[in-house]
Amino acid sequence: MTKQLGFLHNSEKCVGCQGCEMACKNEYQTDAAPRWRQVFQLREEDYSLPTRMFFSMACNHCANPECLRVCPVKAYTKREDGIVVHDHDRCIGCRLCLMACPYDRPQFNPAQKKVEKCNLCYQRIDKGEKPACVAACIPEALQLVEINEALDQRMGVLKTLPGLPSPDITQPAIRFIGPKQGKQIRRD
Amino acid sequence: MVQTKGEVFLMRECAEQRTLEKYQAKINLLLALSRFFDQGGEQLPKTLEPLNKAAAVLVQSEGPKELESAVKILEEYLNSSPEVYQALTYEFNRLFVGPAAPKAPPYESVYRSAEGLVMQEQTLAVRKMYLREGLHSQEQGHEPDDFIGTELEFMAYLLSRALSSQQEQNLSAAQYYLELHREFCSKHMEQWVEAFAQAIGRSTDYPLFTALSKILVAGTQSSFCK
Amino acid sequence: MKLSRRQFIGGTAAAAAGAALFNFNLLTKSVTAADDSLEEMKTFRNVCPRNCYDTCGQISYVQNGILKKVEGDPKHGYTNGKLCLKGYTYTRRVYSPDRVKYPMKQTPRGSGNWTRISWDEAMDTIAKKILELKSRYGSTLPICFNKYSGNFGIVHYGAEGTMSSIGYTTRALGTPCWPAGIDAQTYDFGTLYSNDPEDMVNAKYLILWGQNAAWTAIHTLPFINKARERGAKLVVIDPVLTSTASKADLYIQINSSTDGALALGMARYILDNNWVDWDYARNNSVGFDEWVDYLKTNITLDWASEKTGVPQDIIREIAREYATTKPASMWVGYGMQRHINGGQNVRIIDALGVMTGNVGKSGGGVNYGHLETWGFSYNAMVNPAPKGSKGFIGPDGKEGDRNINMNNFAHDVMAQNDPPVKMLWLACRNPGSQDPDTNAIEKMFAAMEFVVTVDSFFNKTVQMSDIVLPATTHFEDWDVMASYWHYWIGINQRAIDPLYESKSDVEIAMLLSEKMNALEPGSCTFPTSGTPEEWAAKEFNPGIHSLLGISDYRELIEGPRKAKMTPASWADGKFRTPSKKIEIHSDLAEKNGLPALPVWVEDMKAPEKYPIRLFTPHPQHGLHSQFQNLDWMMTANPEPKVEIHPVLAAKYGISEGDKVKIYNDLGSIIVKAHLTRTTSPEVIVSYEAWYKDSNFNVNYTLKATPSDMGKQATGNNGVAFHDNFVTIEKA
Ligand code: SF4
Ligand code: SF4
Ligand code: SF4
Repeated sequence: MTKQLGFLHNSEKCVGCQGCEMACKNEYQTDAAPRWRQVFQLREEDYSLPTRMFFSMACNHCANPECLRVCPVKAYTKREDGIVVHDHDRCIGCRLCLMACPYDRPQFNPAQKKVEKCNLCYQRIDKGEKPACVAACIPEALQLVEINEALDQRMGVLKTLPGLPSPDITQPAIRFIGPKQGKQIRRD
Repeated sequence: MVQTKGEVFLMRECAEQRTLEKYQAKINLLLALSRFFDQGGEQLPKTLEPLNKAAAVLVQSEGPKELESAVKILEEYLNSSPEVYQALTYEFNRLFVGPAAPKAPPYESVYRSAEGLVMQEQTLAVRKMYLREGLHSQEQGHEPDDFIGTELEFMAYLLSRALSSQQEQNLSAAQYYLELHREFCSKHMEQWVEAFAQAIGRSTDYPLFTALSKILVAGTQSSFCK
Repeated sequence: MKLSRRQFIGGTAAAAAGAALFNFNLLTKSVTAADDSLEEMKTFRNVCPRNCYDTCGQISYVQNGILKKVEGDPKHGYTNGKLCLKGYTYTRRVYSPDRVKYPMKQTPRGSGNWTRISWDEAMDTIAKKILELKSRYGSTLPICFNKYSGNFGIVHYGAEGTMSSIGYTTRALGTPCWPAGIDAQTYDFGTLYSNDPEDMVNAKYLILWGQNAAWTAIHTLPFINKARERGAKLVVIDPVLTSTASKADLYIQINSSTDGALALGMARYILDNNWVDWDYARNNSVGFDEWVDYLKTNITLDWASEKTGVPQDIIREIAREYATTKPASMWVGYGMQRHINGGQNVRIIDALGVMTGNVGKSGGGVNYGHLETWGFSYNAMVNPAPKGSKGFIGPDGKEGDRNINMNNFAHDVMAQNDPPVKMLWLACRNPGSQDPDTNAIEKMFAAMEFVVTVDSFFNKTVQMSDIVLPATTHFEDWDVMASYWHYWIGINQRAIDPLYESKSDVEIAMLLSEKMNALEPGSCTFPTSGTPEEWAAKEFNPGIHSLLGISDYRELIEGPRKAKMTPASWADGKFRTPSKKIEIHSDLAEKNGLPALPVWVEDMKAPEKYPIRLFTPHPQHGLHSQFQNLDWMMTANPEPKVEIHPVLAAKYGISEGDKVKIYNDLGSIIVKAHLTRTTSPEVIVSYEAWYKDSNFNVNYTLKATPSDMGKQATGNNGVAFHDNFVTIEKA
């Protein structure tokens, strides 16, 4: 593997609008149930002040993808650029990957009885375009990045957020910038 | 494929009048079903009788026994009072038309994905198969091409072409149409008719519509005269 | 082995001969040669026509006549090639199997017994009813029309045109959304006219006052963020800690409905420190010194702090910063004017902008909205009444339509006697879900003889109708759209054929006209011809052309255009008030029974029995009753909830996830509790929306209390949606 593509999500900018989530659905016209990308709210109690804080997560294209390891039919492959691609045709719907992924990112499609997930829009990336979710993010909170030392050295870049599983398990290719909280004049 | 050859063989070698009649009966049933869906709940007094007749003929000649009771139920409805027909109309619209979200939308693509939509890839695939025969839905672009009524009509058309080719002794043409019919059935109708029938069965208390759903499933099987 | 037909049949002639024998009903022979290849993807320009600040430019992708996906239009300088989450769900709307597909008739109304009827029968039934009512009552006044913002496309004003063309009718007049604020700005400046939102990048200080852009105008965020990158501070004042407020440098959780008191406190402090832009205020306004006297004699920081719940040092801080960091921009949201003193609060905020000289400046402004780019021909709307039509004689002695209050619709319909209202026509409107006091609405509908609704989905209003007519979506129509926020105008092309038998409002009007004139010649003046594109073309005029710098509407197919206007509203100082100046003292307001000056007017206090304020703001996943019913939205937001502060919840023994009954004298709703400190202990929040297969509707508890303003510019006062008081218990 020559590099590792991944996401950088900035909770300071993210307003939880779910535009990324819907843009992904729009791009692939997925069924309703599977959420390749999903926006989650951070828990109020994990921060000093209650605010509406979010992060957005799709497949993390992990360096040690558990999904790939457990899949009995080798539906998962990892590309040179680090993207973990799931081959829908090979998938037999056994759902082992669902259990293995710490992030619940493989999504079961009950109608097709198969798993599907974010393939990091590799067809778009191969054409030099941004992933659909990244292109749709209005406050530019979601970015496509190369995961490397330089990124991890950057101020404020976090490997995880409160409530998320330890990144040691799969080494997910996602980094975060935590929420920033302003001053609040409150009634309680 | 083997089966198709078998059918043609049957048709040719035996030149069996009964087989040809069976084909005609099947065509009639498909057309009656098509009209039933297309003409809508308001026309049930007109579409029910031909449907019943066509189904009865098929049951007699071929006798899938489980259909007998379904045909009987249809028959019982034939001389319904205007009030009953009215109620059936409302039920028809509740199941298939709207304006509230219909319980069993009569379009293929709706059943072939989780929370299906109309005008999806299946719709286009159906459109393409019509095109192979130089045909298209009169309402293309407005009504989904994979409307049950249209698919039924297409099936009837293919069988009727097979039948007339056979009568004209054009056996390769007959084989071609039987093959196409089988392909359409397996790629489309059979892929959703069960789910559609189940949606009907789940959503109605009217024996008429459950009976109808059974006739629909039986009548659209590609392998019906072995 | 796969046979190709060519192996046995010599070309299409033989096939055609065979086909001729078959009696087709639904299929037909293709005249053109069979081409089953996938077409090239085509793109069309569309504009999202919803009642939304952003009115996004869209590109629809169409292949083989099927809408494949919808993206933002990169040529649109404000929406910049991106859509909000709602905009990405359009394929689900267009191709939902739930759409209303054909004209249908319900007997009896509300029974759920529907018959499919032809357009001809629908028009015949409607036309005969109209003519019968007309002969029974001697006029078409028993017919009442209610349309608002379901589709803001200009050609959709053809719905109004339908009514004008049959005679004088009863009309629901007003706007439920924003009228109090409109009037406030009308009294102050002569009309509502906001800066170009793209100009917000030039602000050095930003106050969002009751405005949740993250949910309702998300495309403004990049401009706000740009300003912040350049050093601007963002202050959000809101009783609810919204997604937007969560991003602020300073968030102020103000007591509901006391925004004017905060602005007065700020004004007093600005005055005391002489940060007033006396030149600007005195040169451009009338009554400024009179208001200064009021501030001096009536307003103290103590009082302001007491009223608003905002500590004095914070009032001082934002007053100083707002007055001394120039230019400073304020954006007044529509939520804060939905109070019995809402318009007055906006007037006070306006005065604060004037006093600091922030009006008429790039990067400044008291921004609320505008209608400067709406100068279309309204060709589809304007039709003369048929000869001999009898109308309602207004107080001015003129004969015309009989206007009733859209914001007290149920009551006003029932109150008409001479003649009574007997028939409703609803278009682009779902009062069954969106009007206050749902119980009263239900009763009123039940009292009608005949109800016609034009819609694309089976909502509460359709449920209460005799006839529903299927409406097209904007991808199936030609139209043109402007925004009440940004300065862009875009053309909306027909990208796909209308699904099923759906029609646009104008097509319906043409059909009705044909039918009415056949039944009674001369009874309807609506034209009976014109293609959808021709109808759209007729909305353009030289004014619009020059505003956009085009000479033909087709130029918009190349991309939307921005109106040639200065980025700062009122930069020319030509105010449109009677005095041509900013009217801090407004005689007009006084004449209308309001205070002449932007002085404090008391807020509504909670009654003892119902001590909790229920906020019902706009949802994130829908636009009023649109979008939330779609399957993708139901995945993203599966059920309604009520946000309750943990302290309040504890008082009523409510825990996270409990079902809560919210009620008052009017009615009740039951909804799941979400405990959060984003709201205050005095206020619970449940977002208005229509969920599929659910009777959840916040308006069961909502009284049609008028807000203080709206009459002057929009015909009727607004609704004090946020002055709604309830109590709760565990259900
Ligand atoms: S689109 Fe951007 S701002 Fe919106 S939820 Fe996704 S990451 Fe957050
Ligand atoms: S996030 Fe889950 S599905 Fe994606 S690569 Fe990692 S383990 Fe696999
Ligand atoms: S990268 Fe592509 S597939 Fe993955 S979440 Fe984003 S839009 Fe969806």
